[in-house]
Amino acid sequence: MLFNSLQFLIFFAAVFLAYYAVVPDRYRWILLLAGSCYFYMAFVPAFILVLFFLITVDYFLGLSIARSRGVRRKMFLVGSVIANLGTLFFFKYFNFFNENIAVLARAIHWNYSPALLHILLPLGLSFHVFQSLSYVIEAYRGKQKPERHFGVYALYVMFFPQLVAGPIERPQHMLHQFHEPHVFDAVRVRQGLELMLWGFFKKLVIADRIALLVNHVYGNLGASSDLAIFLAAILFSYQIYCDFSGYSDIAVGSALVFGYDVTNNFNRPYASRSIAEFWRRWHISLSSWLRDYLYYPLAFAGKKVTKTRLYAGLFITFILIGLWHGANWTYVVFGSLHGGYLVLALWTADARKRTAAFIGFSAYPALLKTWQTLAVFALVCVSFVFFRAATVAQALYVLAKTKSAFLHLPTALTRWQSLFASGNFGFRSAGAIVIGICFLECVQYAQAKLNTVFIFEKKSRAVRWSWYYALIFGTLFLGYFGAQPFIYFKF
Amino acid sequence: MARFLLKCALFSIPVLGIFIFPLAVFILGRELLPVSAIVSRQQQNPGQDILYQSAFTSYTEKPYKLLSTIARNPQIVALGLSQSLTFRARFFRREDAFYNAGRGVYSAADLSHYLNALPHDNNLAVILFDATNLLYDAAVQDEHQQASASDMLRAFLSSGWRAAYLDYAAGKFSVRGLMRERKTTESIGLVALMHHAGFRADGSLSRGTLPEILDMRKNALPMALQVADNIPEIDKFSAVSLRNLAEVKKFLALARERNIVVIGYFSPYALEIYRAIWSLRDLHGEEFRAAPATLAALFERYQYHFHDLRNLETIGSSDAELYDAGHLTEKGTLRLLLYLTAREPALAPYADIAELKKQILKEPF
Repeated sequence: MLFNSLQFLIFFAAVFLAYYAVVPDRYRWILLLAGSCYFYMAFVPAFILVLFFLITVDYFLGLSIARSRGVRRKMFLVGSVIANLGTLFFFKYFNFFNENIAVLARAIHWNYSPALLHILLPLGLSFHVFQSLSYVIEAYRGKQKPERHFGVYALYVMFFPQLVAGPIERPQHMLHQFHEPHVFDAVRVRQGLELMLWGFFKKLVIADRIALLVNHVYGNLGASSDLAIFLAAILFSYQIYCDFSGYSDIAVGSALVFGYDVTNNFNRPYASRSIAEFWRRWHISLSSWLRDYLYYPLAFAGKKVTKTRLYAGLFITFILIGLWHGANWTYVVFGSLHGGYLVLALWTADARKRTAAFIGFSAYPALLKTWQTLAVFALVCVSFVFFRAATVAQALYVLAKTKSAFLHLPTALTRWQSLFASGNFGFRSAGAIVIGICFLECVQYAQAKLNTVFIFEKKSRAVRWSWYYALIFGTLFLGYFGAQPFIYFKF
Repeated sequence: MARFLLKCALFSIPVLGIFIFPLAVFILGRELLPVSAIVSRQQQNPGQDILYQSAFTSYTEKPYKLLSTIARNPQIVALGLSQSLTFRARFFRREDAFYNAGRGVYSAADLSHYLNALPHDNNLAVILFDATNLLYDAAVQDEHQQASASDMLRAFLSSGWRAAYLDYAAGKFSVRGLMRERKTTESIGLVALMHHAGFRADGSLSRGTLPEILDMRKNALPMALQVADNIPEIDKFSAVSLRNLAEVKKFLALARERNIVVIGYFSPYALEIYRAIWSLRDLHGEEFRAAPATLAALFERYQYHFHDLRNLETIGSSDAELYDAGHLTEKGTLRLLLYLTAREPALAPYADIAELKKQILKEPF
C-alpha cells in the first residue's frame, strides 16, 4: 500500500477513528500491530513470514542477552547479527555476490556457473534489519532493557508509518512510547496532518513530476539531448530528496497523529557547506546508525587512533552505505565517491582554508558560503548519477553528456524544445517543478529561520488554514497522480 | 475529538467543492459507467448507434473490446491496433457475425491472452489479423485486463477531475451542450456525446466531428509527405523483436488448436512513406523489406497466409483513401477486404465480392 494512494488514505482514516474513538488505550497496540500487518501484506503477503522470523529471533535473543554474561552474551549477539545479516544477504546480495564470483571465475578460466535465486526482495528489508540490529546491539551494550512484551516488540519493528522506508529508530527512543498512554491531542494531530500534507506536496508535485523527465531520459539515453541529460542529472537530486523526505514527512506526520514521536530524517541537506554536514542532514537515521555501530568501532576501538585508521574507517563505512542501498556496483561507486569526498575533505582541510584566505574568500563569508553550498550540491549531483543509473557505464555516459552540455550551455539551451520531445513531460510538468522547487526552498528557509517545521503554528487560524489550503490545492492542481512508488521502498 | 472532527468537516468543504463540477461532468458524460454496463447497453441495442469513447480513461479499451467480443459472440473479428478500426459490420453478409476488436490488444503478448479469455464454446471462425506495429516494440503486458467501476472512480480521483476542468477551459465541451446531447443520444463518454466519435456497437471507430480528426483528414497527404521527407531522421524502425515473434507464434498455435483461421496482413501506409522506407539502404530498409517474408513463413507453418499490403497500390487504393499517413478510410478498407476475400476461401461465407464492389462504388471516402 503506497502512502500516495487512495487505499492508504482510507486505511489511515479507518485506523485513526478506531484508535481514538473505539479501542481502549491498553489494547491500542493490537490495533496498530494488526494495521501494520495489513499495511505490509498489501504489498506481497508472504513476506510477512520473513519479518515474523526476524522478530521472533531477535525477541528471544534480546531476552537471552539480558539474562547472560560473558561469552554466552556475545554468542547471542553474534547469533542475532548472523540471522539478520544472513537474511539480508540471502535476499539482497546473494545473486550479486554469485554473479561477481562468476565474472572472476571467467577471468581465471574457471568453469563456474552461478546458481541464481529468482525471488523478490521483501519490502523495506534493509530498514527492518537495521532497526532490529540496533535493538539487540543496545541490549548487548546494556543501554536498553529487553522488551518482554512480544506484541510491543513486534510493533517496534513493524509500526506502519516507518515500516517500509524508515526512519530507522533506536529502541531507547521508540519502545517506551508503545507502553505510554496516548490521549487525543488536537494540536499534535493537526501538526501530524500538516506534516503529511507537506510530504504529499513534495512527493506528488516535485518528485513525481521530475520523475517524468528523469525516467524518460534514463530510459532513452541514446535519444535524449545533452540538455535533457544535464537537467535530468541535476533534477534527480531534487527528485530523490523530495521523494524520500516526502515519505519521511508522511511517516513522521502519521506517527504524530497517533501520538508517537518519530525521528526526523532530513534537515535541508542541500544547504550543507561540506559533505560531512550533508551526511548529518541527509538520511539522518541511517548515517547515525552506521556512525554509532560501524564507524566508531572501526575508527576508535583499540588503543591507538591514527589518521589512516580514521580515513579507512570512513571509507569502509561509506562503501557499506552504498551497498546498503542495493546490490549493484553503481551503489558501491556512489558510496565510494562520498567516502572519497570525506577523506579528501579531511586531508585537504588546512590547505583549503589557506587557499580561501589567500584568494580573499574568507573576507566575504556570504560568498564563501554560497560557493561551498554550490560545490557540495554539484558533488552530490555527480554521486546521484551513479545512484540513478542502471550500470556504471550508463552513469559515465550521463556524466560525459552532462559535462558536454555544461561546457556548451548556450548551444545546448537553444535545443530546449528537446526537453518536451517525448514521454509525458510537458510544459505543465515543467511549470509545476519550477513552482514546486521555489516554494520548497522558501518554506525550508522559513523553517530554518524559525527553527520549526510548523512555520505558521503561532499564527491565527485564518493564516494556518490558508497555508493548509495552499498545500492541498497546490498538490491537487500541480501534482502528478500516477501512483509512482517511493524510491526508497526498494531498499 | 468530536470538536476536532467537526472542524475537519468544515475545513473540507472547499476542498470537496472543487470536485463537484468534475463529478457532475463525469455523471452527465456517463463516464462513471463500468465497462460491463457499457457493453450490455451497446450489444443489447445494436440498432441505436450508441457510441462509446471516454475523454478521461483509455485503459478501459482492452477489457471493453474483450467483453464486447464475448457478448456479441461473432464468427469473424478484426484484430490489431488502430489501423484495423475501419472494418464495419455492414461490409459483411451478416452484420451480427462480425466484431471489430481493434485495440483489444496493445502488444503481441496480448494476442494469446485475448484468445484465451474467450469462452471455449464461442463461434469464432476467422480472425483478420493486422500485424502493423505489433512486432517492433517490446511486448508489454497491460494489467488492466478487467476494468471495474472502481477503475472509473480511480480515474476520476487521480487526474480525471483535473482533466475535466482543463477540457472545459479549453472549450472542448460546454455544460449546456452536454445536457442537450444527453437528451438526443444514448452514447457513453464525453467524447462520444460531444463529438459523436467513439466505438460503435460493431467495434469500429466513428471519427465523428473532433476538430483534430477533421484537420488530419485535410492534411493527410501533406503530413504523409512531411513524414516521408524526414524518414532518414526518424527512429521509426527497430528490428522485429524475437520475443514478439514468439508471441505471434503462440497466438497462431492457439488459433490452430481451436480451428480458427487467421488471415494476417500488414496494412497500407501513404505511398510516399512506403516508397521512402522501402528505398532505405540501411538496416531499417532491410528489415522493412524482409519482415513480410519472416511472417509469411511463420504463418505458413500453421497453414495460414500472410499478406503484405503496405503498398496502397496492391489493393488498388491511393493516398486519397487515407485518414492520415497510416490509416485507411472505410473505402480503402473495403478494397483491402475485397483483396483478401478474393484470395482467402475462409472469407467466402462472410463477405460477398460483388457486394463489396458495389459498396466501394457507393462509399464516399
